[in-house]
Amino acid sequence: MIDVAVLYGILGALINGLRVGSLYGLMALGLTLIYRVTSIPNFAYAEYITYGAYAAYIAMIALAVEGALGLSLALLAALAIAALAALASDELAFKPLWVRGASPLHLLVASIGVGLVLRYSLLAVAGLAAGLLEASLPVRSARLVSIGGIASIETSHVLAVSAAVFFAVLLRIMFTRTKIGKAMRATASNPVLARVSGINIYLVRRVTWIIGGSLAGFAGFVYAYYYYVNPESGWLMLLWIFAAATMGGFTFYGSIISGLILGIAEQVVSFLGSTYFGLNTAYSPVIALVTLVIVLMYRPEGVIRLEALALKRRA
Amino acid sequence: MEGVSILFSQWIIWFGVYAIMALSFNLEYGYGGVPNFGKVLFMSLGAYSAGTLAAWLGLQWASSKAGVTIAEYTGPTYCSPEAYHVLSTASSQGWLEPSQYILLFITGVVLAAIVGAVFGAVGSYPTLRLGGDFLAITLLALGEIVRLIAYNSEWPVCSFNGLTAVPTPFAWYENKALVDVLYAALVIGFTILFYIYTHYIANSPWGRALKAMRDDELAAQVYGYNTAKLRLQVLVVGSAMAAVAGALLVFYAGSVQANTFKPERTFEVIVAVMLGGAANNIGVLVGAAVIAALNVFLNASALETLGITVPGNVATTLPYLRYVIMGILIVIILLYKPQGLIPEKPIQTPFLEKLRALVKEKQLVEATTVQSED
Repeated sequence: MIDVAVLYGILGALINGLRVGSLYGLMALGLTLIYRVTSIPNFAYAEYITYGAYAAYIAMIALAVEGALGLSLALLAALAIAALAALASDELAFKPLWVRGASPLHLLVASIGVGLVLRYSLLAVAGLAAGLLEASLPVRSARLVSIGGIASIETSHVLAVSAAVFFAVLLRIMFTRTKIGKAMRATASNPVLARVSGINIYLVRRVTWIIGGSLAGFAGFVYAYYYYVNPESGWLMLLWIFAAATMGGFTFYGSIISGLILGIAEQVVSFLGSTYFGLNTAYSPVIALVTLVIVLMYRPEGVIRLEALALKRRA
Repeated sequence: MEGVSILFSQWIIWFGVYAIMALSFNLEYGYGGVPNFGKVLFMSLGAYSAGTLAAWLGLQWASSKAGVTIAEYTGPTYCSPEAYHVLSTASSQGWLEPSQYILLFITGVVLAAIVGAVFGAVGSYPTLRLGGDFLAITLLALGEIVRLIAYNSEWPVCSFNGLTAVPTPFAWYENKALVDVLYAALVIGFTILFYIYTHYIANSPWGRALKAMRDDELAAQVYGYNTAKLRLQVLVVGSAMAAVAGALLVFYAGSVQANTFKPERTFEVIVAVMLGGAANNIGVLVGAAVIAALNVFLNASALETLGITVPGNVATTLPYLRYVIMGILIVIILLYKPQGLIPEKPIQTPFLEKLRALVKEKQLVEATTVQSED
């Protein structure tokens, strides 16, 4: 007979898995957008999330506005700083390389370099200023519903899940139905032809980086709303984000779905492992990494391939 | 003065470790075009196997000589504080002979090379399926999996505490100030050996086949090269070298910590190769020297030894500054010097062949002169 407490624990793990999973999905959305348009496997992407989280924290401390207004100001700061970081890294590093015809592998190495600069300069600053090495928003996620006193639904759950779904649908519509989305796809598949057809590919590129960066900023804001942030927290999630994006076959819906699968697997498996086998929860990142390796080796085109299926049906 | 000599031997040792890593990465990526971003994985495997073998064997010998039995421990016995005590006092108590220390070093390095070669063969499996950036991500993830497991489990290297009682090869030597210098000389010996080795295999027909595979895999296949086999071979050689570098690091530090083998280590090796110039072994050595210098000299205590005092807030940022510099270096090299400081040179004709050609030419000239005299 399974203990009731264990059942509640599993329920709690599921609910928390939904939150973590939507966060991974949300983070993978921006990575997917940037990869689809510029084909850069961007290892610096996680740093935009950290920058967004820190921007939200600093804005909230500096402005000292409480409540919903303070939160929305913090969100604005997160979006702006993360978009700025993304745009700057493209203008200073990726665009010049792309113009010189760098291979995807060189772009990957460059993104590692950009990531190192962003992460370690933040670490250096945080090391100097007191209280920055571990930060979280002063307005915390609040409990909405409590289930059995063990599991509970908080505002951060609602925020993460709704944001993930909302942005995935929005990006999908933008990518397929709007002019800028079509311009993005044209630029991705053939920049020269896109340019000949009168598309300003540099503008398209800039818009892509701004949207991708602000998505990272939003994810960073949600992250700081619930978790404690340190200058390395984005980097520690990077392989999860890559796992979600590659498993989703670099599509928007796929990213969210595989993010959810990964998040729930992480929470539930590590909960069961620690209750029944006494396994350390520190092993849970191994789940994401193993998934990433298996997916890349056997299904590099992705596991969740809704868009490919839709195309097949239409044909 | 003693501090300076220790600091410089530290630099030379790190240079040797990075140079061996960079030479092996150069062989894989520079010549063979296989982006092995799991360098640190093979390095860590070498470090774990060498460290555990030396600690385990050393503990067996020392405890039997001393007549101590080490009590059972939750993890491996060499992780217990008791084992640490036995191993750290073994040289002063005479429980381990100098020859035994040297033997432990040799077996450790040999085991590391074997383990590295075996796992290099296993690691070549993803390269059959993937190429380019996806392969790089896969190998990077594999390295992180191994590090996470090693950091959290008692096997093989005592989880987050690290295996701290590895017998170093010169622990028996009385003059402690010279131990580092001796070890630096040993590491330089290894580096020279590996440099000569990579120089010869890179300029051999096999090295030419690697370059052919890098430049155009289809063309190499058309000319009858088995590219899958070539990849396997280059990964076996490269990983064995990386594992030996890991073992050398362990026998210097006298400890194995899982967190030494973070992905940043791989990035440092990549920077060394890209800075010096891919497919150029001399350039790679220059790159390794720069990276090792950044690593060793760019912290407050090292600068103080050299007579430079830094204010406190600069001292806290210095360890992070190293990676900021490295990141900027990566982007600048890729932008302005994609071939590195010393670009790739054409393959050298071996000395003997040159000599033979010379002799043949001379004979030809003699023959013609003899003919003309007739």
